[in-house]
Amino acid sequence: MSQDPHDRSGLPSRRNFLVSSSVVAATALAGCSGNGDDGDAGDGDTTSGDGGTTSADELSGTIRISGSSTVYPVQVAATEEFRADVSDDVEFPISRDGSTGGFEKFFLKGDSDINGSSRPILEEEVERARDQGFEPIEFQVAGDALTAAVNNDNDWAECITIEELSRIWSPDAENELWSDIRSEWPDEPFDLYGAATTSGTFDYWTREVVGELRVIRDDFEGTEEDDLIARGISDNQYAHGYLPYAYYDNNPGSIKALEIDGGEGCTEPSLTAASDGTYPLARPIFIYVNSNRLQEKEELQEFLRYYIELTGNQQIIAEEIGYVPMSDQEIQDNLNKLEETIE
Amino acid sequence: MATVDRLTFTNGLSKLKGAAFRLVCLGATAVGVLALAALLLTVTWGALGFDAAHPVWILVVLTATGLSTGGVVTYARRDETVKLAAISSTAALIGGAVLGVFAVVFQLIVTPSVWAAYAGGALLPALVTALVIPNRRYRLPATAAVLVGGGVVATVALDTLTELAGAADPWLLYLLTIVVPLAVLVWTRVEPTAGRRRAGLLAGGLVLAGVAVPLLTPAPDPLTPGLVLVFGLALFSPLGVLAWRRFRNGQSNVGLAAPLVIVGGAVVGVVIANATGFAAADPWLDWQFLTSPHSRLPEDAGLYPAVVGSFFIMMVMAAFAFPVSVGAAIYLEEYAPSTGWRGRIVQLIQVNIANLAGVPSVVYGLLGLAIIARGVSLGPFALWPGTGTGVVTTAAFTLGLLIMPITIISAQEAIRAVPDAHRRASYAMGASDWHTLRNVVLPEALPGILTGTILSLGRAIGETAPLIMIGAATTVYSPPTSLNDSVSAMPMQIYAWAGEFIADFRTGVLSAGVLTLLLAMLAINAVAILVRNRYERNQ
Amino acid sequence: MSTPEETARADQPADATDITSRKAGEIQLDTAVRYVFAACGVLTVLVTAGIIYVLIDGAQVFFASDIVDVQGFLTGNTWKPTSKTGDGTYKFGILPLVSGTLIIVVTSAVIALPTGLGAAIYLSEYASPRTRAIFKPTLEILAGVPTIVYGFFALFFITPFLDNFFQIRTFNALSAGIVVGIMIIPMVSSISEDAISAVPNSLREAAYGLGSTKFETTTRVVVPSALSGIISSYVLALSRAIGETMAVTVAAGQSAKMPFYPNVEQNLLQSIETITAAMINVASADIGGNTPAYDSMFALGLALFGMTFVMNLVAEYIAGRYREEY
Repeated sequence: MSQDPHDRSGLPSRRNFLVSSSVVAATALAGCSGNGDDGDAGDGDTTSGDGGTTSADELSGTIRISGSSTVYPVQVAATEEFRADVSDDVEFPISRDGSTGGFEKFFLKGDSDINGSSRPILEEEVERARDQGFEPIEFQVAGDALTAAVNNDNDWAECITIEELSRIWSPDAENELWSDIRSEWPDEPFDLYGAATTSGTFDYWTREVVGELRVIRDDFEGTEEDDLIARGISDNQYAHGYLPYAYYDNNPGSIKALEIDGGEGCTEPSLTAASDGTYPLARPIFIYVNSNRLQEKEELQEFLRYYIELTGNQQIIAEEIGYVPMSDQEIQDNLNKLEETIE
Repeated sequence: MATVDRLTFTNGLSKLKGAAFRLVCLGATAVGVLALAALLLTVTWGALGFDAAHPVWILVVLTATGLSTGGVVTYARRDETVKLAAISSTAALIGGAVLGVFAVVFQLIVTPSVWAAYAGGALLPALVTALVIPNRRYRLPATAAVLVGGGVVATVALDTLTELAGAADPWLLYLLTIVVPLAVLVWTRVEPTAGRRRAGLLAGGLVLAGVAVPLLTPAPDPLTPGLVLVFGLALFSPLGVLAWRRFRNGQSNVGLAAPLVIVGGAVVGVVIANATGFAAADPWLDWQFLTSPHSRLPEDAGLYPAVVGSFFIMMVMAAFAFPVSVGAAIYLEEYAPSTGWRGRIVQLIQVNIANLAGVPSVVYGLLGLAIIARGVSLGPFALWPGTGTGVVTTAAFTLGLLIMPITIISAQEAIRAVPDAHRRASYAMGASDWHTLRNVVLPEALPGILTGTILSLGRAIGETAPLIMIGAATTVYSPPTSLNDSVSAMPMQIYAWAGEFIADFRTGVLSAGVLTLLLAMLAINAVAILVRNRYERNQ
Repeated sequence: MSTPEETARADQPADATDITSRKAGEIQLDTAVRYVFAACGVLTVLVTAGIIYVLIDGAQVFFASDIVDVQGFLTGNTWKPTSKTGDGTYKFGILPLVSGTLIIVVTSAVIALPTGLGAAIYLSEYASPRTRAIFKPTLEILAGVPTIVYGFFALFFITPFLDNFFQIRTFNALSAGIVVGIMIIPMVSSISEDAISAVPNSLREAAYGLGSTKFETTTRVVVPSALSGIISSYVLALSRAIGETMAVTVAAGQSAKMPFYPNVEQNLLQSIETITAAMINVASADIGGNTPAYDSMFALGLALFGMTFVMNLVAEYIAGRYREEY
């Protein structure tokens, strides 16, 4: 709390930074649409010509966003900045439903334009979207280092292998005590916390750690709220759980992160380790866009151009939220993909 | 001797037992009160950012506030009229604040130009008619005729009128359509008793204050000067009416300043405390919080669209649930047969209502999702088209059905409380059922009915589970302005804050949101208690 | 102070003469008005019908799938609608949820029933009108506090407090049960108080006349006479506790388990999941999906509706009996 005044006094400069970065983004955007024209001849021009004039001031409409609570901070950042920089006549109702929840509840029914997901879309979900007559277009917006955490008073575990994690979390395992995993660890039962069974984080963890999608032991505490996972872990010396790195990053000291050994030695979770691929539990997080809406709605096109540029913003994505920003090359690829879909 | 001794002994023992029992019962009552106090204290502490403050700072502010409150209380204790004035002015301000929020939300929904079109086309002409026609007999019909006629004209010419009105600043529109007529009204009421000078001062002062609003308010987005004007008028008008009544009855108005003195004490306390140089509280619940939407940064986050959303839902809900509930209550109390097979059906309806009052809110959420949001069709016929998930209409209808049984039951109690003698007197004068109802029963039962309705608003404003079920959004950036807009409500946004990465959201911002929600609920309940007390005093 | 009322009354004679002159034309209006009001009453029946239809329709889809039948649903002891158990299947057994709900009901009953009755006795028998005027609305406010606020209160205030005394989980049944108990105190106290106040004064006077003390009069005459009213308030309050949603969703956890035995204290210290919380969980997962998990929400709703329906009927029946006594 005592740092607050400092934070607030820093605010105007942060705003200035954002404005200037958005100017950069706008220039980049202009350059990019120029590229599109060069590459794909007149097609793009005719479609945008049909849509009328493209002046940022005239943009309005509603873009419905649903999905993962892991992606939610990025969604909020993108929409908030878009409204500040481009047009505040565009309204964004956002709900946090979990990746699966968002797909089921809104996106696959055609009720939302964008769905955030902390796991890649399933084949079955793509098919249901096609039944509805649209294609879900995938864009990666950030990376995360899923963090395995223990209590601060846990003085035995420092580094853990994926195989050991799997033994902790598998349903058929007979393991109840820490000593079942490594004999030198204490004879105390685990107390396990993790993402709710409706979230993409859960899907990722079961697939990567347990080895089979949505299979997990019965007696863990599943919740949609990462804060509650952290509270659970910090309340019991023998607790263990997994949560997004962003949460750990924003609440240093409350819990202890374990190093992960994916077969090539122990690696501490960090944004660098996640982006260079040395951290084994690094995962991409995505948004999926309804292709029909993308072609119909000019405000959605503008928003996504802005959004994709913003995913490279070190200040917002890394420092404020705690995710791995996208590289320039990835952004360029995403922009190209976007322009292709719009045509 | 021995018997006497035993008697006094058992007497003493039973006295002790009695006293102990009384204490236990008092303790039981206190448990509830203490729980409420603990709840309010923790939430207020977090919302006002007291944990950032130095103890000395807190001590100074609390002492100053305590002193001013204590001063007001001791002064008011000595004089019954001052006490009454102090209580009523506080109540009037609370009521005014609730009214103000509703008025602002109403204006956000109808937009200033539409309001101006109807105000200029129908309301003002009707007001003028009412003031001009001296004969009581013709006044009402003539006013009604002008109102309806003007309404039709305004609707027909709506596009032209709104275009015309749209050219002016909303603030100017409100000045012309509300402040100036209000000043005229004040003049006509005040002038006969208080004389021209005073009436002129009052009316002129009112207009001047209205003119000064945009100069005085920095008008932070999204609260334009126009909305500040509307809120200010609603906030102070109950107090104004109160002051005027007391003045006319020759009562002293000193006590009316009580809320001002208490708040003033707190402000002085803050100024002194800041001067001490100790760390000050860093309130999360501030003007910025109330006027901003959610943000990813805790210090920029706010509750504005959710507050508007909540009150918008309340208004639509009340407009639907209130007439239906009162109608059902009237039928059950005044018309329903009590014998025969029809009587048995009525009895069944009555049991059914009692049951509905106990159905968990989450089940109403399922009803709202499956029927209200998604629609019902019987074969090829669409009985109900379905209003869609997460929009204002769906939320309002779902919550409306939820509060209906409670409202019906309390309205029934109010109607039942009207003495039968009054009804008989009315019938004896040859009045029909409907006229007895309209002129005798309803006017007497109205305060009770209103109390019940307002209390159910207080319940609906905090409902979360049904909103989750019908898929209400957690975050929106601008408040909903039409019935088909996606809506978020206060509890939805608060629920979302609990899951943010950044700790400040889960402590400070969350507390500020909870306190806002609690204050809204308390203010609504206070209005209900106010209505009830007034009513009980008049009985 | 009461000018509008005065003017209204002053207006009435004038209106009344109006009525007599127009009376003949009013009969049709009377009938029309009666039908409109009756329709409002019928609407409440439609709401019940709608609820039952929605629940049964959804539940029937759920049971029609070959994943679970009614018996399996009612007797199954594992609730895993969205994650697979060891054998690779989803499990829909309601018993762990019923257990969670009952734990909350029992805990809240322990808090609210004695406290509410004590408060009712104090307010009706001992309190001065002045004290009563302060305490009664305050207690009623307790019932108006949004339940989600109670959930946060339990999670951020009561659980850390209890943590000083017990080895307690972050999510636990105890603190959720305590806040639900606090929430239903006013329900017990206000209905019980009505019942106690309805005991005729003659009974009290007769008891005093026989030499009883106030304590004896209250505990042996007044409270027993009001017993049916008090019991009915208990049943209603517990029915509310069963249906309570947000406080338990936030504070009691989301992990359905069968009760612990013989370590019964673990039932309070561990996390649980109630029927309502399970519905919210499914709702925030699959509100529109055609999955069994989504449909299970309606089966849960039906079970919940059935439980509260029976309890409300019982309360109504008991209260009806007591009304006839005087």
